[in-house]
Amino acid sequence: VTQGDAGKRKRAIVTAIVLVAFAVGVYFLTFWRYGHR
Amino acid sequence: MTAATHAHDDHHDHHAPYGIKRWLFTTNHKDIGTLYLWFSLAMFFSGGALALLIRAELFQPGLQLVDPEFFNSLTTVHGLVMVFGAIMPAFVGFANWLVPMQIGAADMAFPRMNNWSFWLVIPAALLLFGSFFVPGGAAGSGWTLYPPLIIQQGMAVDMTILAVHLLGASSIMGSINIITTILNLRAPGMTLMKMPLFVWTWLITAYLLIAVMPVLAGAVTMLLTDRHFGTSFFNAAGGGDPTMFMHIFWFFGHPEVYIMILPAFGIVSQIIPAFARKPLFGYASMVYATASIAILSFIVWGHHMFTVGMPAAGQLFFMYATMLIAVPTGVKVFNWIATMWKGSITFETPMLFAVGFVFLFTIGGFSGLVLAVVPVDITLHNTYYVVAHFHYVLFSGAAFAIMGGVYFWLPKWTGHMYSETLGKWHFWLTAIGFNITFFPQHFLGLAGMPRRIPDYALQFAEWNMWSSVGAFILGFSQLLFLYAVIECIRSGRKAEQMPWEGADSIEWTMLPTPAPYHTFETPPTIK
Repeated sequence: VTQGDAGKRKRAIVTAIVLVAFAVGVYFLTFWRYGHR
Repeated sequence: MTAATHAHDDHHDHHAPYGIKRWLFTTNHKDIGTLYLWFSLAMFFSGGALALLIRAELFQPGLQLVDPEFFNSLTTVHGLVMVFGAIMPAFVGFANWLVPMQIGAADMAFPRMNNWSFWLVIPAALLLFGSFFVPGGAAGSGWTLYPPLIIQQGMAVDMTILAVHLLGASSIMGSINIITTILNLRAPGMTLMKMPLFVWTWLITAYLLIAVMPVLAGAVTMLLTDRHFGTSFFNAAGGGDPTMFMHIFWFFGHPEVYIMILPAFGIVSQIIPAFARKPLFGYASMVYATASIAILSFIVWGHHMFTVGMPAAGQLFFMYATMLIAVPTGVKVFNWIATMWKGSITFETPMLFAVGFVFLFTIGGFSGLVLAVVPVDITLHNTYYVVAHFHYVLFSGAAFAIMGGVYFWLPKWTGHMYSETLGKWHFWLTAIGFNITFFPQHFLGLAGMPRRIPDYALQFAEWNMWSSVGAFILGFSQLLFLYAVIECIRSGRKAEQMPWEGADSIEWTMLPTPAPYHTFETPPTIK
């Protein structure tokens, strides 16, 4: 992120949060099959 | 590399740490790229040493050097180290060096996370190799970690599971960093469809990684709880299902194959136009083909387990879906050849590796098509034909691209030229050694020799002997690579600003050679 470029920083952080949420979601989805036993 | 970047370092930032602290605490994408590349080279040699032990044992029938349990550990750790320690970190090293330079960014989006991603892989490697020294020896299940065997083994398995978790976390963080960087930090004018192919392939690879590494993490977490916390996810005696592990593992495992080859496509797509002195043929179709391969990679996992007893409809689906991947892959091979067509080609070392890649990877692709055919696969499953196939894809595919890429960008990274003579010797010995090692394994597989065994029937003796001789040629010729790289860094002649006249991505046209320690402090404008 270019120094002082607050807009870019915010957008980068939002992108990262979405991606982390996706990864965590996929991790728990792996166990989904077993939730119905 | 050190000398070149250090000089610039002093020039720009008088308070930058040096010595061990520079590497431990670095947030610079080039330093981290360098760390990844050296780590991967160390793993390449370590994993290669395990491979040579395997081939030494298989030089002739009978048990000579190692006992069968240790042989299983060798094949397992060789696979894990080469996949997670050598190939993947090498591509992450390339991404760190090249992505910011190719999109006109100052650095990666999250430099501290970048540092953490790298330093996680060191304990993982120590755990993997350390597991050889605990009671019972290293995991012997093969890199696929199938239960029930994996559940019955000793504490080495727990070390392997922790290593896989660490490597997964590192890959996910690395991918988040790469996607965020590419989506948010491109220079003005650097639209997505102007990005160099290497950046495109890594963007798609990073999405694949984020989608499947958590699946592997979930699978090994379940193995861990099955082993220690009384669950029976994969234990049939407790109502679990070992086949379920295979499904989950290969849902990760097949996209993983493309994680290891898409960045290689990117590197080759940069090298070939540079040495053919023509723009890449079919840029847009290359991007769409890469995306198609990535999407299709999620619906073909069943072809790894045709013999497990799935319904014919399932087998047909996975067979046709797998064959479909040959279409976008064929588009790529066509485009590389069309790029070379009527080009003004020269064959410096990077180009030799790139052309070797196109030729040998295509052989690996075709043997993949053979294996996609269900009745054929039922015969060839778990034979040496499979071993031959995936080494054509991963060694003469991924590793050739990595080596070609190293020779291609060494001048940019170090400011020095490598020795062309050494590079050519390295290429030819590698190509010849590789084919002597792995081509006969097709014959062995077709004749019915099973993989992952330390002993075999007498009729397989001759081709195994050839394969082992080739493996030692291949293995020892890699020392030339190490020597060529070190010689280039220490005493290579000074590189010109544009050592490759046909290279046109912005790390060549808009940055000095060697690349400065800080990339694009002011973003360039791309026309």
